Amino acid sequence: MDTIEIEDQYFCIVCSQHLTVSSEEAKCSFCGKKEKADYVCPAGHYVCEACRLAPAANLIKKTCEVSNETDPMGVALLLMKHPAIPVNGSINHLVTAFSLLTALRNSGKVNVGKPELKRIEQRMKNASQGICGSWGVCGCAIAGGVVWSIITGATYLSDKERSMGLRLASTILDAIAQVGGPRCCKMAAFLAIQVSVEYFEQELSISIPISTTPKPCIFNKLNSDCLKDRCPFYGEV
Amino acid sequence: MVKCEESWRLLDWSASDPKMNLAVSEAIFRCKRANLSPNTLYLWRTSDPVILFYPRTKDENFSRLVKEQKVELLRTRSVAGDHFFCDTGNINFSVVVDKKCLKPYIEGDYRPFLSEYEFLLDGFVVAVRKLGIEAITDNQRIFTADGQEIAAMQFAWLDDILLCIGTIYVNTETAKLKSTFKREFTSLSLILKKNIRSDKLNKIIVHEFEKKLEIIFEKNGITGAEQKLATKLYDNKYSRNKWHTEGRAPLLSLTGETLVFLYVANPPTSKCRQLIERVNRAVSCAGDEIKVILWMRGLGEQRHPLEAIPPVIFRLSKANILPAVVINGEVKFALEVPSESDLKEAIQSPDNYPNILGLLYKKRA
Repeated sequence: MDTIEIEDQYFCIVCSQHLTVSSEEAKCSFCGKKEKADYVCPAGHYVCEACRLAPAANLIKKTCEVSNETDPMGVALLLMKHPAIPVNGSINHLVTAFSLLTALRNSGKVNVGKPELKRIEQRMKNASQGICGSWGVCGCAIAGGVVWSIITGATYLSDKERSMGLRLASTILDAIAQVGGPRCCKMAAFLAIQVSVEYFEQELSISIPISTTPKPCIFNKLNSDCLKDRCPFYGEV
Repeated sequence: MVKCEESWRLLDWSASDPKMNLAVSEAIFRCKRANLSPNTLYLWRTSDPVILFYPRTKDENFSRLVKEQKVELLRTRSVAGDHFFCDTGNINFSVVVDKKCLKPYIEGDYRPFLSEYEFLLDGFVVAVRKLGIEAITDNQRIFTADGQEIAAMQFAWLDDILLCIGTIYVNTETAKLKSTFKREFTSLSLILKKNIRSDKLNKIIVHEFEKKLEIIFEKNGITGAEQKLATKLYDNKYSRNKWHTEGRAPLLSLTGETLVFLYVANPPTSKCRQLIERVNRAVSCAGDEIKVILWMRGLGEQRHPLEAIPPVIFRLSKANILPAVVINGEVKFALEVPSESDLKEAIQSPDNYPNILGLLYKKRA
């Protein structure tokens, strides 16, 4: 009869180092909660029990609410490493939007609180999986537009802000379309973040510099449709 | 050309129940994948008229034939090819082979799977030609020179292992088919205007395959492992209407054990570890009929390539429903750790516990 041995060797989902058994208190790398840890990595990363079991949207919200990160790519990459976030799928749209808004909030130049985060979640619900193929609009481009609307207060009656939101979304779409190939939600999210950061700097003089590089992309082996050399983020890991 | 040294068996076994023949064919297919069976040619007949279909080929017109002519619709586990009719006049065949054994014989442009299936079908074409019939083939059927169908085949594969299930219309009553199938049929006996002895054709088929593959078949019966699995597949799948009408059957392990998947966090939380311990205790005295697989969220399907992966794992993953216990493809427990006695009972009698996936989805929504 088969029984399951509980493995004694696990890997850190943040940095891939071996985890070691611990009985010390540690701070969750996602939600920041301190608790008695079971497994920690040499770099001090720990994922609390609640975050290990959390649904993706909850994890994103909890992480972004407490994050001090000013690099949107850093926020996105941390979230994407969590097993709740699949390689592809609409949750990557939410990651894009939350990462941008979190970095903007932490830069201190934009007033963002829980209501804005909540609003993002509500608006992003309509950007469902596969719309890049069926609507001709990628949810990560929508994320850029949603963040723009929230920080500028744009509505469908606005004049310049509305146009600029449309322009941001279309610039992101153009960047994604230029890469070509079947969808890769990681590539789309990375491009949306890069384009949005440049756009915020250029149009609003708000700087949220990207200090973490997504290249070489650590998700390429998980994606059977990886675009490999066609993708600007591809490289041997 | 490097010949494949694997042995070939001509299965010496017979059952007239088409459902049992499907169960035996699948059992050999699975056992071959588990390295428990040789390459096999199995020629069989059915006592009752049936249509063998798989979802892509199901046609609405079937229902009339089924009602008026008392033909049973049986679902196979095929994924390609075409549906076909068989009655007592047909010779049906199941071929299970590792495709590596066919590779040395394939000439021309190699097209994965298609080339192998064409090669196998060609073995039957040559046999039909030996009777003096001019026969041609596409990659799933055999026709007379004037385009009338005389044989059809369906395919399935598990990694490198191929299963072909097909039929030859030998002394078949084809008249009733013409109004139902949008295909032109005939039978070998109609063409040759005489009854054909099935044992004679069987011999020709065997001989032609031996020539084609440069082998000598070993005439052997069904193995113990195949018999056990076939009985399980018959009881849980092919004898049940649920499979034939809805395509639902318990997802057993490759060799037929009850399959218990534990979907847990990575690394497992205290709750997940508690669940693992309870499952271990629940199965510890359950004999060899249970296979337990640990599936940690985010680690992907590469980890368990041999076993059938319950599609439900992807749905659990998407909805972040964990920890969860999936038995024979159905979610029996989730989010909370069940008691050891509940686990024991659910593992022993999965049918007594409902699939709670729908409920969980509603809850999440």
